[in-house]
Amino acid sequence: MAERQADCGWKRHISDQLKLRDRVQRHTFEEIVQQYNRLLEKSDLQAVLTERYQTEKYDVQRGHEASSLDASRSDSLHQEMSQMRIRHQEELTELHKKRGELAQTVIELNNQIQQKDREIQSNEARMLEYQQQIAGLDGDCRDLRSSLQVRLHEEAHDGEVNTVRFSPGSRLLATGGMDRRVKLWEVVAGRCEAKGALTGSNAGITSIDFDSAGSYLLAASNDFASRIWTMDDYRLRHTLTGHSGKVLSARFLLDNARIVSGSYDRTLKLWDLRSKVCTSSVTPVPSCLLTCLHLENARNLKMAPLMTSSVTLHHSCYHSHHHDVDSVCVFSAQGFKCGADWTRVTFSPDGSYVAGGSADGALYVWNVLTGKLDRTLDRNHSSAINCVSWSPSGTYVASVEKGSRAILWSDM
Amino acid sequence: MADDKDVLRDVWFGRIPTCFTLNPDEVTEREAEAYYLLLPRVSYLPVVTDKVKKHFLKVMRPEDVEEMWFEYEGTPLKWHYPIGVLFDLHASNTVLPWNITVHFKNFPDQDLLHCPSNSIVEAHFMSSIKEADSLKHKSQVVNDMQKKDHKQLWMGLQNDKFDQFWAMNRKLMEYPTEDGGFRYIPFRIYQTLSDRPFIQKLFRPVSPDCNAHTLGDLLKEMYPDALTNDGEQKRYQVLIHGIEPLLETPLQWLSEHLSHPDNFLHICVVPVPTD
Repeated sequence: MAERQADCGWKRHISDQLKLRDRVQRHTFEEIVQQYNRLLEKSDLQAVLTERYQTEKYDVQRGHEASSLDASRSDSLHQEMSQMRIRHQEELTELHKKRGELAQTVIELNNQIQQKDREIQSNEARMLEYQQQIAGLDGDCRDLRSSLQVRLHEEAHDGEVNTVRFSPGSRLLATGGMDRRVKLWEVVAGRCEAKGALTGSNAGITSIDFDSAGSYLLAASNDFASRIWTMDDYRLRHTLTGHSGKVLSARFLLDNARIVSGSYDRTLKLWDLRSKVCTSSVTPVPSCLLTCLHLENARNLKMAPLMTSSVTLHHSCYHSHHHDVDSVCVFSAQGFKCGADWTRVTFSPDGSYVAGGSADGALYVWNVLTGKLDRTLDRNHSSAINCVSWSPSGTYVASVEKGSRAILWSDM
Repeated sequence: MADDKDVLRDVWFGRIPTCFTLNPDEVTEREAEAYYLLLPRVSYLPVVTDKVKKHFLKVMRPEDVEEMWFEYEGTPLKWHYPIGVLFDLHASNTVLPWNITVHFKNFPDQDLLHCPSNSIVEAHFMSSIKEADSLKHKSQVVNDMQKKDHKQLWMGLQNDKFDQFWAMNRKLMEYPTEDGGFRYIPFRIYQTLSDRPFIQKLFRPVSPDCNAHTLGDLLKEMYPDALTNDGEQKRYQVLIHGIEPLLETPLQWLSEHLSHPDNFLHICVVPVPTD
């Protein structure tokens, strides 16, 4: 108890002392200090404001003083100034008007532009339509033309048809195929009629040629021999043997008394028809040239379609023992591919066109002078074209295909 | 106990009415009025005198302004002492308000430390706390605190937030019950007429025979002249926070409740005024 009392004693003493201290040191001064500081703020503000007003007042006073001193001068100055002001006002109104006009023109021009744009759009739409129509008509044209030109569309042989040739008179068409026969057709008034067949060969026919009179027919065969029939009676007259390989091509020479034949055995043999023996034999010969012997006038122009997509025109001169081969011109077209390494091409009778059949069944015609593709006749053959022949009259082209079909084109 | 809490609050919210006047030698554009302020006893001069500086800068040219420093009757005031200590030591029995002169030139490098920013004050404050705790708890409590806790102590003091401060500070006032008190009491005894700045020594709150030491015991040990012997006239006042506690006040209690925020018991011994 006494301790507690003592406790309370010093503690209470401290408590009392603190309260007394605060009364003296804090409470008496708190209010006054606050109010003093507030007054200080106000007076500061006043000072700032008065300073500002003072300076303004001085400025205004100075302004007044200056004007009263030279009143007359300021009068004329005034007049000048008012005149200037009037002038400026006028200019301003002018400029406003001009601006309005320009804005108007801008709007009009914008409208015109929009209109023109619309016209352009409709023109373009129409152009597109026309282009589409043209494309369609082009296609129709081609179809019509090719259908017009097809005269004969027939299964010519049993099996592949290897070769086709017109007779010099353009009336007869001969086709030879793997069925060992040479079939004859008469071309009359734009139609083909089967006339007959020549038999006697033991293997497929590779090449056919007529003599210049049209009285004999020469056919080379895979049985290593070439045969000659007479056209009046269709009888086999001669058989020329001697090659040790397939005879790929045989031709009458211009005097009709001799025959030249090229064979897979890499030889060219010259035959005399009267004696029916082989008079000379030339080897070696590049095998590519043997696929097609085509004599044109006095020169030997041989065309060798290579196993590529182009046809190369070779110019070769044959003198007894030597020969040169130059490539004169290369014809190619997109899509043209040789169906076999012995696919043939032909010149037109006037020498201005070259016709070749391609692996996809389309007939390509090139212009010799320009070297460019002239026509493409497709959609009639269903397999690769093996041989093409141009009639001497120039009106017809016959093409035969692997798939045993022969097609006669007119209006060439 | 409610009383103890009140004591803590009274200690924290103690104020000293101060009048700041500009040193007449300073170059001014016009006359500067005095500035009055109630300074908190427990804070430090650089922390609470921003308004003073702003007030006096209004009348001065920027080129004449250097570091601000304060002086009372010729004595430069050390900013690293708590304000209450400065007042009790120099002006405890003078007429209020406390007149402080403000200087902007001729910083006395011999007597004062420079204080360019508040972070210097913060560093000084925190180091005092750490020193106090090393005496009280061998630094265990303060080292267990996180950096944000230290920051909270400083912010509480800087912004005058009693609750924020004491939320952390109470940890520093705890002690294991079997010990009966802190290891040593952190205290400083300031004297007016001495070359020494202050007396600080190790002193236990509890005697070896488990008696609580009192304020009187401390003084007897550290500064016996401060005590009045029987029959003599009282020569010295022993001031803590501007009051004279009874000499039988237990030292442990004093350390817990009458310490400054830096956890030190600052005791001023001043001569009794001769009216």
